[in-house]
Amino acid sequence: MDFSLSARQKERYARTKAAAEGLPTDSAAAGLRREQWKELVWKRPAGLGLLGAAVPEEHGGAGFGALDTALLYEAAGEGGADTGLLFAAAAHLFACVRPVLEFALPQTRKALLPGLCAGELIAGNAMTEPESGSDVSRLTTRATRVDGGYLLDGVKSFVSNGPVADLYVTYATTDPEGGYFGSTAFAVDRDSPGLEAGAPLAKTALAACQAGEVVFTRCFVPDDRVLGSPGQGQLVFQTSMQWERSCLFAIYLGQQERVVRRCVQHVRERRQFGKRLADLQPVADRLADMRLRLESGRLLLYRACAGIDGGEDTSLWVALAKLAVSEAAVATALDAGRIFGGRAFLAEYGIEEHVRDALPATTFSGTSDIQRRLIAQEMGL
Amino acid sequence: MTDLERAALLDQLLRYVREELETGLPADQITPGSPLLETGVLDSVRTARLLAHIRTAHDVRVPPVHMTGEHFRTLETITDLILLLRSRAASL
Repeated sequence: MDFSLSARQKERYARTKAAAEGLPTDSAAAGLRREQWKELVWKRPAGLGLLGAAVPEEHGGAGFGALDTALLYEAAGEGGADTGLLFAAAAHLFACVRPVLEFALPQTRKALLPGLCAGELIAGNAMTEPESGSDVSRLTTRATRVDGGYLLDGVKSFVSNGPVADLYVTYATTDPEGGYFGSTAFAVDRDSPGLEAGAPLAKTALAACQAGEVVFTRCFVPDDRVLGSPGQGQLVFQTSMQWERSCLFAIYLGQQERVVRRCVQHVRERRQFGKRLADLQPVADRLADMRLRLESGRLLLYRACAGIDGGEDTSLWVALAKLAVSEAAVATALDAGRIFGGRAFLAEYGIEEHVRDALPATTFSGTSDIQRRLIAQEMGL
Repeated sequence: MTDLERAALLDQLLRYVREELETGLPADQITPGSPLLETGVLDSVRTARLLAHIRTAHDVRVPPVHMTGEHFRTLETITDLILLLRSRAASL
Protein backbone atom coordinates (compact mmCIF):
# COMPACT_ATOMS: atom_id res chain seq x y z
CA MET A 1 0.00 0.00 0.00
CA ASP A 2 1.63 3.19 -1.20
CA PHE A 3 -0.05 6.49 -0.46
CA SER A 4 2.43 8.78 -2.19
CA LEU A 5 2.23 10.16 -5.69
CA SER A 6 5.11 9.50 -8.08
CA ALA A 7 7.45 12.33 -9.09
CA ARG A 8 5.74 12.35 -12.47
CA GLN A 9 2.26 12.61 -10.95
CA LYS A 10 3.40 15.44 -8.66
CA GLU A 11 4.95 17.31 -11.56
CA ARG A 12 1.81 16.93 -13.70
CA TYR A 13 -0.36 18.00 -10.77
CA ALA A 14 1.69 21.15 -10.20
CA ARG A 15 1.69 21.99 -13.91
CA THR A 16 -2.07 21.54 -14.27
CA LYS A 17 -2.76 23.51 -11.11
CA ALA A 18 -0.61 26.40 -12.31
CA ALA A 19 -2.26 26.37 -15.74
CA ALA A 20 -5.72 26.37 -14.14
CA GLU A 21 -4.84 29.50 -12.18
CA GLY A 22 -4.89 31.30 -15.49
CA LEU A 23 -8.48 30.27 -16.20
CA PRO A 24 -10.84 32.95 -15.02
CA THR A 25 -14.20 32.25 -13.52
CA ASP A 26 -16.48 33.54 -16.19
CA SER A 27 -20.10 33.95 -15.26
CA ALA A 28 -20.76 35.48 -18.68
CA ALA A 29 -20.03 32.07 -20.23
CA ALA A 30 -23.55 30.93 -19.38
CA GLY A 31 -25.02 33.43 -21.81
CA LEU A 32 -22.73 32.80 -24.78
CA ARG A 33 -24.10 31.36 -27.97
CA ARG A 34 -22.98 27.97 -29.12
CA GLU A 35 -20.19 28.85 -31.55
CA GLN A 36 -18.80 31.56 -29.27
CA TRP A 37 -18.96 29.25 -26.29
CA LYS A 38 -17.03 26.60 -28.14
CA GLU A 39 -14.44 29.07 -29.32
CA LEU A 40 -14.01 31.05 -26.12
CA VAL A 41 -14.82 28.64 -23.31
CA TRP A 42 -14.47 25.00 -24.39
CA LYS A 43 -10.88 25.38 -25.50
CA ARG A 44 -9.86 26.05 -21.88
CA PRO A 45 -10.49 22.54 -20.53
CA ALA A 46 -9.25 21.17 -23.87
CA GLY A 47 -5.96 23.01 -23.32
CA LEU A 48 -5.56 21.37 -19.92
CA GLY A 49 -6.03 17.94 -21.48
CA LEU A 50 -9.20 17.34 -19.48
CA LEU A 51 -11.48 16.31 -22.35
CA GLY A 52 -9.67 13.16 -23.40
CA ALA A 53 -7.67 12.37 -20.26
CA ALA A 54 -9.09 8.86 -19.81
CA VAL A 55 -8.90 7.88 -23.49
CA PRO A 56 -6.04 5.84 -25.01
CA GLU A 57 -3.52 7.81 -27.05
CA GLU A 58 -4.39 5.91 -30.22
CA HIS A 59 -7.82 7.61 -30.09
CA GLY A 60 -6.43 11.06 -29.39
CA GLY A 61 -6.49 11.02 -25.60
CA ALA A 62 -3.84 11.18 -22.89
CA GLY A 63 -4.07 7.48 -22.06
CA PHE A 64 -4.55 8.01 -18.33
CA GLY A 65 -6.25 5.60 -15.97
CA ALA A 66 -8.88 6.68 -13.45
CA LEU A 67 -6.44 7.82 -10.75
CA ASP A 68 -4.35 10.02 -13.04
CA THR A 69 -7.51 11.41 -14.61
CA ALA A 70 -8.90 12.24 -11.17
CA LEU A 71 -5.63 13.94 -10.22
CA LEU A 72 -5.88 16.10 -13.33
CA TYR A 73 -9.39 17.27 -12.41
CA GLU A 74 -8.38 17.78 -8.77
CA ALA A 75 -5.39 19.88 -9.80
CA ALA A 76 -7.54 22.01 -12.10
CA GLY A 77 -10.06 22.47 -9.29
CA GLU A 78 -7.40 23.40 -6.77
CA GLY A 79 -5.81 25.78 -9.24
CA GLY A 80 -9.07 27.69 -9.38
CA ALA A 81 -10.64 26.68 -12.69
CA ASP A 82 -14.36 27.41 -12.69
CA THR A 83 -16.22 24.51 -11.04
CA GLY A 84 -19.05 24.68 -13.59
CA LEU A 85 -16.61 24.51 -16.49
CA LEU A 86 -14.82 21.54 -14.94
CA PHE A 87 -18.20 19.88 -14.44
CA ALA A 88 -18.98 20.44 -18.14
CA ALA A 89 -15.67 18.83 -19.12
CA ALA A 90 -16.23 15.92 -16.74
CA ALA A 91 -19.79 15.27 -17.94
CA HIS A 92 -18.41 15.22 -21.49
CA LEU A 93 -15.58 12.81 -20.67
CA PHE A 94 -17.10 10.43 -18.14
CA ALA A 95 -20.75 10.23 -19.20
CA CYS A 96 -20.25 10.49 -22.97
CA VAL A 97 -16.71 9.89 -24.22
CA ARG A 98 -16.11 6.85 -22.00
CA PRO A 99 -19.30 5.06 -23.20
CA VAL A 100 -18.28 5.74 -26.83
CA LEU A 101 -14.81 4.36 -26.07
CA GLU A 102 -16.03 1.28 -24.24
CA PHE A 103 -19.17 0.40 -26.18
CA ALA A 104 -19.19 1.91 -29.71
CA LEU A 105 -18.29 -0.02 -32.85
CA PRO A 106 -14.64 0.40 -33.96
CA GLN A 107 -15.57 2.65 -36.91
CA THR A 108 -17.74 4.86 -34.68
CA ARG A 109 -14.94 5.18 -32.13
CA LYS A 110 -12.55 6.15 -34.90
CA ALA A 111 -14.96 8.74 -36.27
CA LEU A 112 -15.83 10.40 -32.95
CA LEU A 113 -13.08 10.03 -30.37
CA PRO A 114 -10.30 12.23 -31.82
CA GLY A 115 -12.69 15.21 -32.14
CA LEU A 116 -14.17 14.60 -28.69
CA CYS A 117 -10.70 14.50 -27.10
CA ALA A 118 -9.39 17.56 -28.95
CA GLY A 119 -12.30 19.84 -28.06
CA GLU A 120 -13.70 19.99 -31.61
CA LEU A 121 -16.81 18.10 -30.53
CA ILE A 122 -18.79 18.71 -27.34
CA ALA A 123 -20.83 15.86 -25.91
CA GLY A 124 -23.98 16.07 -23.78
CA ASN A 125 -25.30 13.39 -21.43
CA ALA A 126 -29.01 12.87 -22.09
CA MET A 127 -30.29 10.37 -19.52
CA THR A 128 -32.52 12.26 -17.07
CA GLU A 129 -36.18 12.73 -17.99
CA PRO A 130 -38.82 14.95 -16.40
CA GLU A 131 -40.38 11.85 -14.77
CA SER A 132 -37.21 9.82 -14.39
CA GLY A 133 -34.44 11.18 -12.20
CA SER A 134 -33.09 8.50 -9.87
CA ASP A 135 -35.26 5.75 -11.33
CA VAL A 136 -33.56 5.26 -14.69
CA SER A 137 -35.27 1.91 -15.24
CA ARG A 138 -38.47 3.56 -16.44
CA LEU A 139 -37.48 5.74 -19.36
CA THR A 140 -40.40 7.14 -21.32
CA THR A 141 -38.15 7.94 -24.29
CA ARG A 142 -38.75 5.12 -26.76
CA ALA A 143 -36.60 3.75 -29.55
CA THR A 144 -38.57 1.97 -32.28
CA ARG A 145 -36.81 -0.45 -34.57
CA VAL A 146 -36.86 0.59 -38.25
CA ASP A 147 -34.84 -0.43 -41.27
CA GLY A 148 -31.17 0.35 -40.59
CA GLY A 149 -31.62 1.81 -37.13
CA TYR A 150 -34.05 3.27 -34.61
CA LEU A 151 -36.49 6.16 -34.32
CA LEU A 152 -36.22 8.01 -30.99
CA ASP A 153 -39.18 9.77 -29.40
CA GLY A 154 -39.11 11.51 -26.04
CA VAL A 155 -37.86 14.36 -23.89
CA LYS A 156 -34.60 14.50 -21.94
CA SER A 157 -34.08 17.14 -19.26
CA PHE A 158 -31.05 18.55 -17.45
CA VAL A 159 -28.83 17.53 -20.35
CA SER A 160 -25.39 18.76 -19.28
CA ASN A 161 -23.83 20.63 -22.23
CA GLY A 162 -27.20 20.17 -23.97
CA PRO A 163 -27.48 23.64 -25.54
CA VAL A 164 -23.93 23.55 -26.94
CA ALA A 165 -23.29 19.86 -27.66
CA ASP A 166 -22.49 18.36 -31.06
CA LEU A 167 -23.22 14.82 -29.89
CA TYR A 168 -25.57 13.32 -27.32
CA VAL A 169 -25.21 10.05 -25.48
CA THR A 170 -28.79 9.11 -24.74
CA TYR A 171 -30.84 6.18 -23.48
CA ALA A 172 -34.24 4.93 -24.63
CA THR A 173 -36.56 2.03 -23.92
CA THR A 174 -36.30 -0.59 -26.65
CA ASP A 175 -38.21 -3.37 -24.88
CA PRO A 176 -40.79 -2.23 -22.31
CA GLU A 177 -40.96 -5.82 -21.00
CA GLY A 178 -37.18 -6.20 -20.90
CA GLY A 179 -36.60 -5.28 -17.24
CA TYR A 180 -32.91 -4.53 -16.69
CA PHE A 181 -32.33 -5.19 -20.41
CA GLY A 182 -35.14 -2.96 -21.61
CA SER A 183 -33.15 0.11 -22.63
CA THR A 184 -30.48 0.85 -25.20
CA ALA A 185 -27.76 3.52 -25.39
CA PHE A 186 -27.21 5.68 -28.47
CA ALA A 187 -24.72 8.32 -29.65
CA VAL A 188 -26.79 10.86 -31.60
CA ASP A 189 -25.56 13.78 -33.72
CA ARG A 190 -26.99 17.19 -32.93
CA ASP A 191 -27.96 17.79 -36.55
CA SER A 192 -30.04 14.60 -36.77
CA PRO A 193 -33.48 15.41 -38.20
CA GLY A 194 -36.00 15.29 -35.37
CA LEU A 195 -33.57 16.38 -32.65
CA GLU A 196 -34.17 19.70 -30.99
CA ALA A 197 -31.81 21.11 -28.36
CA GLY A 198 -33.48 23.56 -25.97
CA ALA A 199 -32.18 26.85 -24.60
CA PRO A 200 -29.94 26.93 -21.51
CA LEU A 201 -31.84 26.58 -18.22
CA ALA A 202 -31.42 29.45 -15.78
CA LYS A 203 -29.47 27.59 -13.06
CA THR A 204 -28.28 28.83 -9.70
CA ALA A 205 -25.18 26.60 -9.67
CA LEU A 206 -22.39 25.45 -11.96
CA ALA A 207 -23.38 28.30 -14.26
CA ALA A 208 -20.57 27.76 -16.76
CA CYS A 209 -22.03 24.37 -17.67
CA GLN A 210 -25.01 25.03 -19.87
CA ALA A 211 -27.82 22.52 -19.40
CA GLY A 212 -31.13 22.19 -21.20
CA GLU A 213 -33.76 19.93 -22.67
CA VAL A 214 -33.30 17.75 -25.71
CA VAL A 215 -36.42 16.65 -27.57
CA PHE A 216 -36.46 13.69 -29.97
CA THR A 217 -39.30 13.46 -32.48
CA ARG A 218 -39.03 10.47 -34.81
CA CYS A 219 -35.30 11.08 -34.71
CA PHE A 220 -33.48 8.47 -36.79
CA VAL A 221 -30.32 6.94 -35.31
CA PRO A 222 -28.43 4.43 -37.48
CA ASP A 223 -27.37 1.03 -36.16
CA ASP A 224 -23.71 2.02 -36.02
CA ARG A 225 -24.61 4.59 -33.33
CA VAL A 226 -25.94 2.01 -30.89
CA LEU A 227 -23.61 1.77 -27.88
CA GLY A 228 -23.16 -1.82 -26.72
CA SER A 229 -25.81 -4.30 -27.84
CA PRO A 230 -29.50 -3.47 -27.91
CA GLY A 231 -30.75 -3.90 -24.34
CA GLN A 232 -27.48 -2.91 -22.69
CA GLY A 233 -28.47 0.67 -21.89
CA GLN A 234 -28.38 0.18 -18.13
CA LEU A 235 -25.02 -1.50 -18.34
CA VAL A 236 -23.56 1.32 -20.45
CA PHE A 237 -24.96 3.91 -18.05
CA GLN A 238 -23.77 2.14 -14.92
CA THR A 239 -20.30 1.66 -16.39
CA SER A 240 -20.07 5.38 -17.16
CA MET A 241 -21.29 6.21 -13.65
CA GLN A 242 -18.41 4.24 -12.11
CA TRP A 243 -16.09 6.77 -13.78
CA GLU A 244 -18.22 9.81 -13.16
CA ARG A 245 -18.93 9.07 -9.48
CA SER A 246 -15.24 8.74 -8.81
CA CYS A 247 -13.21 10.94 -11.17
CA LEU A 248 -15.67 13.84 -11.52
CA PHE A 249 -15.78 14.35 -7.79
CA ALA A 250 -12.05 15.00 -7.74
CA ILE A 251 -13.11 18.49 -8.87
CA TYR A 252 -14.62 18.90 -5.39
CA LEU A 253 -11.43 17.72 -3.70
CA GLY A 254 -9.58 20.51 -5.47
CA GLN A 255 -12.32 22.96 -4.64
CA GLN A 256 -12.27 22.01 -0.93
CA GLU A 257 -8.49 22.29 -0.86
CA ARG A 258 -8.86 25.83 -2.18
CA VAL A 259 -11.62 26.71 0.32
CA VAL A 260 -9.70 25.28 3.29
CA ARG A 261 -6.55 27.17 2.29
CA ARG A 262 -8.49 30.43 2.10
CA CYS A 263 -10.08 29.78 5.48
CA VAL A 264 -6.68 29.07 7.06
CA GLN A 265 -5.32 32.30 5.68
CA HIS A 266 -8.36 34.25 6.87
CA VAL A 267 -8.33 32.93 10.45
CA ARG A 268 -4.62 33.63 10.78
CA GLU A 269 -5.08 37.23 9.67
CA ARG A 270 -8.37 38.35 11.17
CA ARG A 271 -8.47 39.31 14.83
CA GLN A 272 -11.45 39.35 17.20
CA PHE A 273 -11.53 39.53 21.02
CA GLY A 274 -7.91 40.64 20.90
CA LYS A 275 -6.59 37.52 19.24
CA ARG A 276 -6.38 35.79 15.89
CA LEU A 277 -9.49 33.80 14.89
CA ALA A 278 -7.10 30.85 14.61
CA ASP A 279 -6.47 31.05 18.37
CA LEU A 280 -10.17 30.62 19.16
CA GLN A 281 -10.72 26.94 19.85
CA PRO A 282 -14.14 26.60 18.12
CA VAL A 283 -12.65 28.10 14.96
CA ALA A 284 -9.65 25.75 15.05
CA ASP A 285 -11.97 22.79 15.67
CA ARG A 286 -14.01 23.74 12.64
CA LEU A 287 -10.91 23.86 10.45
CA ALA A 288 -9.80 20.46 11.76
CA ASP A 289 -13.17 19.00 10.79
CA MET A 290 -12.90 20.51 7.32
CA ARG A 291 -9.50 18.87 6.87
CA LEU A 292 -10.81 15.52 8.15
CA ARG A 293 -13.68 15.56 5.64
CA LEU A 294 -11.40 16.49 2.78
CA GLU A 295 -8.78 13.83 3.52
CA SER A 296 -11.35 11.08 4.22
CA GLY A 297 -13.06 11.77 0.91
CA ARG A 298 -9.74 11.92 -0.89
CA LEU A 299 -8.63 8.52 0.42
CA LEU A 300 -11.95 6.96 -0.62
CA LEU A 301 -11.83 8.57 -4.03
CA TYR A 302 -8.26 7.45 -4.72
CA ARG A 303 -9.20 3.97 -3.50
CA ALA A 304 -12.13 3.85 -5.93
CA CYS A 305 -9.89 5.00 -8.79
CA ALA A 306 -7.20 2.46 -7.92
CA GLY A 307 -9.91 -0.20 -8.01
CA ILE A 308 -11.07 0.88 -11.46
CA ASP A 309 -7.47 0.87 -12.70
CA GLY A 310 -6.91 -2.56 -11.19
CA GLY A 311 -10.00 -3.99 -12.88
CA GLU A 312 -11.71 -4.70 -9.55
CA ASP A 313 -15.40 -4.48 -8.93
CA THR A 314 -15.47 -1.07 -7.30
CA SER A 315 -19.17 -0.38 -6.79
CA LEU A 316 -18.75 -0.10 -3.03
CA TRP A 317 -15.73 2.21 -3.13
CA VAL A 318 -17.23 4.38 -5.85
CA ALA A 319 -20.48 4.89 -3.91
CA LEU A 320 -18.58 5.59 -0.67
CA ALA A 321 -16.32 8.09 -2.43
CA LYS A 322 -19.16 9.91 -4.19
CA LEU A 323 -21.16 10.18 -0.98
CA ALA A 324 -18.22 11.30 1.16
CA VAL A 325 -16.80 13.87 -1.24
CA SER A 326 -20.10 15.48 -2.23
CA GLU A 327 -21.36 15.78 1.35
CA ALA A 328 -17.94 17.08 2.44
CA ALA A 329 -18.04 19.74 -0.28
CA VAL A 330 -21.39 21.03 1.00
CA ALA A 331 -20.44 20.91 4.69
CA THR A 332 -17.09 22.58 4.07
CA ALA A 333 -18.56 25.34 1.92
CA LEU A 334 -21.10 26.04 4.70
CA ASP A 335 -18.33 25.99 7.32
CA ALA A 336 -16.39 28.49 5.21
CA GLY A 337 -19.52 30.64 5.37
CA ARG A 338 -19.38 30.63 9.17
CA ILE A 339 -15.66 31.39 9.18
CA PHE A 340 -15.99 34.31 6.79
CA GLY A 341 -19.05 35.64 8.64
CA GLY A 342 -20.70 38.59 6.92
CA ARG A 343 -18.18 38.50 4.08
CA ALA A 344 -19.54 35.12 3.01
CA PHE A 345 -22.59 36.94 1.71
CA LEU A 346 -20.58 39.25 -0.51
CA ALA A 347 -20.27 37.84 -4.01
CA GLU A 348 -16.70 39.15 -4.35
CA TYR A 349 -15.48 36.68 -1.69
CA GLY A 350 -16.81 33.74 -3.69
CA ILE A 351 -17.95 31.77 -0.63
CA GLU A 352 -21.62 31.81 -1.59
CA GLU A 353 -20.62 30.56 -5.04
CA HIS A 354 -18.80 27.61 -3.44
CA VAL A 355 -21.99 26.77 -1.54
CA ARG A 356 -24.11 27.00 -4.68
CA ASP A 357 -21.66 24.90 -6.70
CA ALA A 358 -21.31 22.27 -3.96
CA LEU A 359 -25.03 21.68 -3.34
CA PRO A 360 -25.85 19.94 -6.65
CA ALA A 361 -22.99 17.48 -6.08
CA THR A 362 -25.24 15.67 -3.60
CA THR A 363 -27.86 15.28 -6.35
CA PHE A 364 -26.24 14.67 -9.74
CA SER A 365 -24.64 11.31 -10.63
CA GLY A 366 -27.02 9.68 -8.16
CA THR A 367 -28.25 11.40 -4.98
CA SER A 368 -26.70 10.76 -1.57
CA ASP A 369 -29.67 8.55 -0.74
CA ILE A 370 -29.06 6.48 -3.87
CA GLN A 371 -25.38 6.11 -2.92
CA ARG A 372 -26.41 4.86 0.53
CA ARG A 373 -28.72 2.37 -1.16
CA LEU A 374 -25.86 1.14 -3.35
CA ILE A 375 -23.60 0.82 -0.29
CA ALA A 376 -26.28 -1.13 1.57
CA GLN A 377 -26.69 -3.36 -1.48
CA GLU A 378 -22.96 -4.09 -1.55
CA MET A 379 -23.17 -4.98 2.15
CA GLY A 380 -25.74 -7.64 1.30
CA LEU A 381 -28.61 -5.94 3.12
CA MET B 1 -19.92 -30.62 -15.81
CA THR B 2 -22.44 -33.23 -14.80
CA ASP B 3 -26.19 -32.90 -14.88
CA LEU B 4 -26.06 -33.23 -11.14
CA GLU B 5 -23.82 -30.19 -10.78
CA ARG B 6 -26.06 -28.21 -13.10
CA ALA B 7 -29.12 -29.15 -11.07
CA ALA B 8 -27.39 -28.15 -7.83
CA LEU B 9 -26.41 -24.76 -9.23
CA LEU B 10 -29.91 -24.14 -10.58
CA ASP B 11 -31.39 -25.12 -7.24
CA GLN B 12 -29.08 -22.79 -5.38
CA LEU B 13 -29.95 -19.85 -7.67
CA LEU B 14 -33.65 -20.64 -7.36
CA ARG B 15 -33.39 -20.55 -3.58
CA TYR B 16 -31.48 -17.26 -3.67
CA VAL B 17 -34.06 -15.57 -5.90
CA ARG B 18 -37.02 -16.95 -3.95
CA GLU B 19 -35.68 -16.26 -0.47
CA GLU B 20 -33.27 -13.37 -0.69
CA LEU B 21 -33.96 -11.22 -3.71
CA GLU B 22 -37.18 -9.72 -2.32
CA THR B 23 -39.09 -9.98 -5.57
CA GLY B 24 -42.46 -9.56 -3.91
CA LEU B 25 -43.66 -12.72 -5.66
CA PRO B 26 -44.73 -15.93 -3.89
CA ALA B 27 -42.03 -18.63 -4.12
CA ASP B 28 -44.15 -20.96 -6.25
CA GLN B 29 -44.37 -18.34 -8.98
CA ILE B 30 -40.61 -18.40 -9.44
CA THR B 31 -39.54 -21.53 -11.27
CA PRO B 32 -36.45 -22.50 -13.26
CA GLY B 33 -38.24 -21.57 -16.48
CA SER B 34 -40.35 -18.57 -15.42
CA PRO B 35 -39.56 -15.29 -17.18
CA LEU B 36 -37.53 -12.90 -15.02
CA LEU B 37 -37.45 -9.79 -17.18
CA GLU B 38 -41.03 -9.08 -18.20
CA THR B 39 -42.27 -9.93 -14.67
CA GLY B 40 -39.95 -7.28 -13.24
CA VAL B 41 -38.02 -9.74 -11.08
CA LEU B 42 -34.81 -8.48 -12.66
CA ASP B 43 -35.06 -4.71 -12.44
CA SER B 44 -31.85 -2.69 -12.14
CA VAL B 45 -31.48 -3.05 -8.37
CA ARG B 46 -32.19 -6.79 -8.25
CA THR B 47 -30.02 -7.44 -11.33
CA ALA B 48 -27.14 -5.73 -9.56
CA ARG B 49 -27.78 -7.82 -6.44
CA LEU B 50 -27.98 -11.03 -8.43
CA LEU B 51 -24.70 -10.21 -10.21
CA ALA B 52 -23.06 -9.53 -6.85
CA HIS B 53 -24.38 -12.87 -5.60
CA ILE B 54 -23.06 -14.72 -8.67
CA ARG B 55 -19.70 -13.04 -8.12
CA THR B 56 -19.40 -13.78 -4.42
CA ALA B 57 -21.18 -17.13 -4.08
CA HIS B 58 -20.11 -18.65 -7.39
CA ASP B 59 -16.90 -16.74 -8.11
CA VAL B 60 -18.04 -15.81 -11.60
CA ARG B 61 -17.86 -12.30 -13.04
CA VAL B 62 -20.19 -11.71 -15.95
CA PRO B 63 -18.31 -9.68 -18.59
CA PRO B 64 -20.18 -6.88 -20.44
CA VAL B 65 -20.47 -8.88 -23.64
CA HIS B 66 -22.59 -11.48 -21.84
CA MET B 67 -24.82 -8.92 -20.14
CA THR B 68 -27.79 -9.39 -22.47
CA GLY B 69 -31.46 -10.20 -22.04
CA GLU B 70 -30.97 -13.52 -23.77
CA HIS B 71 -28.72 -14.77 -20.94
CA PHE B 72 -30.91 -13.42 -18.13
CA ARG B 73 -34.32 -14.52 -19.42
CA THR B 74 -34.81 -17.35 -16.92
CA LEU B 75 -32.93 -19.05 -14.11
CA GLU B 76 -32.12 -21.83 -16.57
CA THR B 77 -30.41 -19.47 -18.99
CA ILE B 78 -28.54 -17.82 -16.09
CA THR B 79 -27.37 -21.26 -14.93
CA ASP B 80 -26.12 -22.02 -18.43
CA LEU B 81 -24.32 -18.68 -18.54
CA ILE B 82 -22.52 -19.34 -15.24
CA LEU B 83 -21.49 -22.80 -16.46
CA LEU B 84 -20.29 -21.35 -19.77
CA LEU B 85 -18.21 -18.66 -18.05
CA ARG B 86 -16.80 -21.20 -15.59
CA SER B 87 -15.75 -23.58 -18.33
CA ARG B 88 -14.05 -20.71 -20.16
CA ALA B 89 -12.18 -19.66 -17.04
CA ALA B 90 -11.10 -23.26 -16.49
CA SER B 91 -9.77 -23.62 -20.02
CA LEU B 92 -7.58 -20.51 -19.74
